[in-house]
Order: sequence, then structure tokens, then C-alpha cells
Amino acid sequence: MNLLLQVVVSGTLLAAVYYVLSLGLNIILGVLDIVNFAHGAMIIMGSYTTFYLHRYTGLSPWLLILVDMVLVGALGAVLYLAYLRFTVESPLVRMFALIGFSSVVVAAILAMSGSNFRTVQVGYGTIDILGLPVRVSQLIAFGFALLLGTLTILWLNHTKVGVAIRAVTDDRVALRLCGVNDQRLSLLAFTVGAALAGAAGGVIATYVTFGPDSGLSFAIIAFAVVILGGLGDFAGAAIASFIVATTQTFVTVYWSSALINTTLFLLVLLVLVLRPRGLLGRGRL
Amino acid sequence: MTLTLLAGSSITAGYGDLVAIKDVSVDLGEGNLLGVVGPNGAGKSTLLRALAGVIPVRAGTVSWEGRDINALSADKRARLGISMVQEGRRLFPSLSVQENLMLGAYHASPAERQERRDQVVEMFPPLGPIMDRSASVLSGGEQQMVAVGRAWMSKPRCLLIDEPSLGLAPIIVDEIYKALPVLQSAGVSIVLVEQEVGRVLRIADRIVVLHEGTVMHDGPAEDFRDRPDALREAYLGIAPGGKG
Repeated sequence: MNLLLQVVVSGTLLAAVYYVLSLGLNIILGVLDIVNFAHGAMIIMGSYTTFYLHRYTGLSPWLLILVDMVLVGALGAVLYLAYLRFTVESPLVRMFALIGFSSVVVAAILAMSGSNFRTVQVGYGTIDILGLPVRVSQLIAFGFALLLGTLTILWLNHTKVGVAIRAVTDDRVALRLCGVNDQRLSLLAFTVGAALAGAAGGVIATYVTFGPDSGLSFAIIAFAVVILGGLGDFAGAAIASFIVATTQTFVTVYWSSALINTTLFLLVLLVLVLRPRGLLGRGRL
Repeated sequence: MTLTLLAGSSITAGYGDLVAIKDVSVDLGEGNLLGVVGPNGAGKSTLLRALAGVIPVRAGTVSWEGRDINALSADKRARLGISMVQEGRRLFPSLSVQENLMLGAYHASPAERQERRDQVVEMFPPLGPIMDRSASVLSGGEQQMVAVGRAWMSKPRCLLIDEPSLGLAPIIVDEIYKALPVLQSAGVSIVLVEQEVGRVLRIADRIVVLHEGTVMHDGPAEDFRDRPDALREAYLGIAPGGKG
């Protein structure tokens, strides 16, 4: 019973981190309809930025999340302005551009940092929750995840810019006829999506060890969460994060960590067949 | 004398290799309602899309208060005061009615947005109780009300409306058509594209007949107001009493 409780508590804390991993992707894929093959690279850039700045400046990794957001967001903006905006009609060209960007990022990290796995050491000790020891850093990550998720949802649903961004994939022409510059909105949405990916990298750096190739695993989790939750459905993604995280924890504890990805893919397949619009049935097709 | 607000001079436009309108000239006087009629494929929608900046003109000039606006994109033209209700309504299905309307007034202040939203509800009372409903589940009539309402939200000086009666029950079309003179009396100049000649003639100041991408007739609507069949017969190739 105690083990099961531990699975639920660990799964819940991990779910918050997975939710952050999915936020940027949910804006870029779910709202802008761009399959962001560079999502993993953007996350890992955030992780390495936190790692090195924390090591050389001693600044708090939680503070450095802001730096991750600015840095990765700015790079996302450059990527969009320099290339992606010209590929609206060519998803295949866009896909190769994003894969190429990813390869360059991973190669650059390998060249500068080597292939060693890294971790950001955060102190603060542990506290008891329901009789279980929980790292304070995990609770802080949980808080950050809630904050970022809430702010993103509020921005998309309760500001005129957010609402307009949600309308971009519905009908760009109709949006222009409302006097809205859809290209500028797409740039903003991509930049915010990239910044959130950077933030996710900073958060997850305090949680797990990572290497140059870890972006792929993080991106797979993010894609699974977004697909399970329904494209563009942020509430659905929150539930999906919990399901993915607790399932992974459960599988690791009771069976084998080797089965994590298999379970994840079965879960995604099952939901795609039964609920193609996601768990709450509200996502885009 | 009526000042010309929006004009197309000898404009040619199309899609890919297809030339949909050729050497077409139209003038919209300030405060006027210009009706554009013609059979399917005459180029009516293309004309509106070229005036609104949705598609570029290949030759000729679109002008606004005498100024060439060929180089302006659709969003910039909308900010000048040119609004368009597209054929098929084209709402944002993932947004609510309220959000659709608010996007129409994207550049307005929150107070102005609220004021215009109230005006839309006054114009189309059925929208009042369904503000939070998703646009994807609305009936055709409700969609058309939201589409016209969204255009009104932008506080347009010129409204381009493409076939508002398409696919709607006559009673709903009556509701939509009741709103047009209200908009006109509020100072909005209107270009109305329609296949239902009789309805257009009743409210238009001028009438333009398009056929195979060229202007067949351009004159006061009153010339045909009491005899729409004559217009149908002369320009649209439909015998008196036929539909249209």
C-alpha cells in the first residue's frame, strides 16, 4: 500500500514536470499546427543553459529558468523569422528545417560539453508528505509547473492576443480580414512556445540527469502528453501528464523501466483509436 | 455629390492560370449600397476578394478615398475600415461566439469592444444568450449573424458581403437583410454580392452585373427595381419568373 502511495505521489510530482515539457509543444503543434521536431533540442538547450550558468555563477536554477526562456525564446524567434515563416505551405520542408536545427544543437552541445550526463544539484533537503519523504526541489518544480501552466492558459484564453493565436490555424484569411497580422502572431506564438520549451529544460534539469541526446526522450514524452490530451487542449494535457507520469512510475516500480516507452506508445495508440480528439474530446484533429 | 470611398479601376484578378475577372471597374460612393449580381462563376466573389486584399490584383488599381491601396495587405485594409463577410461565413470554429466577435474589434479598446458587442446583440438578439457557445455548433443563420456582427465590431466604413443568403432559410435571410439598411444608416458603405437579384434590387443604390468576369451593366438600381425579371432576362440569361 505504501509503495502504491509512493507511486501516486511521485507520479503526481513528475506529472507537473511533464506538463511543463508539453506546454511549448502544445502551443506550437496544437495551436499553430507546426510539428516542432526541434522541441527536444529547445528543451535540452534550456537544461544546459541552467547547468552551466548555475555552475559558473552560482545563481539559483529557479531564477535561471527566466534566462532559459529568454535565450531559447529568442532563438525560436530567429528560427521563425529566418526560415519557418517562408514554409507555411510546405510542411515537409519545415520538418527538415526543424530536424536540421535539432541536429545542429545536439552537435554543438557535444562539441562544447562532451557526451557526459549532467545534473543540476539543488539542495533544500526533504520533507514528509503523507509519511513519504519528498525532495523540496521537486515541490518547487511542481509549483513552477503549476505557475507556468496557469499563466499559459490565462494568456491564451483571456487576452486578445491569446485568443487571436488560437484563431490562427482556424482561418488565417478571416483573421487578416479582422485587421490582425497573422504572421506577427505566428512569430509571437512560436517564440512563446520556444521560451516555454526552454523553461521546461530548466525545470527538468533539476529533476533528472541529462545528456546531449536526452532532448529526444523529453520530446517523446511531450508529444505523448499533447496527443493524449488533445491538440491545443491544455486541460486535457494536464490530465494526460498525470496519466503518463503515474503509468511510467507504476511500470518502473512494478515491472521494468525497459517497458516505459512500450507502455507509452500503447497508451497513445489506444487513445488515438478511442478518443482521436484527446481525453476530453476537445482537441484539434 | 457622393464621394467615392472604394474603387476598382480596370482590375484583373484570378487564381493560378485562371483569370476570374478582367478589366472590371466599380465605384462605391460613401454611404451607398452597391449590389453585384451575376450567375455562378461570374467573378463576383473574386471581385470582393480583390477589393479586400485577400488576393492581389494582376492589373488595374484598387483605391480608397482616391489613394492607391494595391500594395496594402488585407489586414492593413481592414484597419483602414474595409471589412468583409466571406462566403460561407468563415467563423473561427474553435472559438466561442463572444471570442469571434471580439476578434472583429481586435484593435479597439476594451470599452469600445464591449460597446460594439452590445450593439451586435441589439442588431441580432438571438446572439445574446449564446455568447459562450462554440462557433462550431451554430446553425447557419446564427453563423451568418456572427459573421455580420464580427464585421460590424471592426467599426467599418465599408462592408463587403459575399452571398449572405447562401444556404439559409428565407426567414433567416430576411433577418440578415433587415440589418443591412441599419448598417447603411450608421454610415457604412456596402458592396453586396448576391445571386438573389430581387432582394438586392430592393435595397441597392447601384447595381453591377458581372458575367464571365466582365461588367455587363452598371447603373442605378431603381432602373430595374420594379422589374427585376427584365434584369435577369437581359443580363443573366434567365427567363422571367425563373429563380434568381
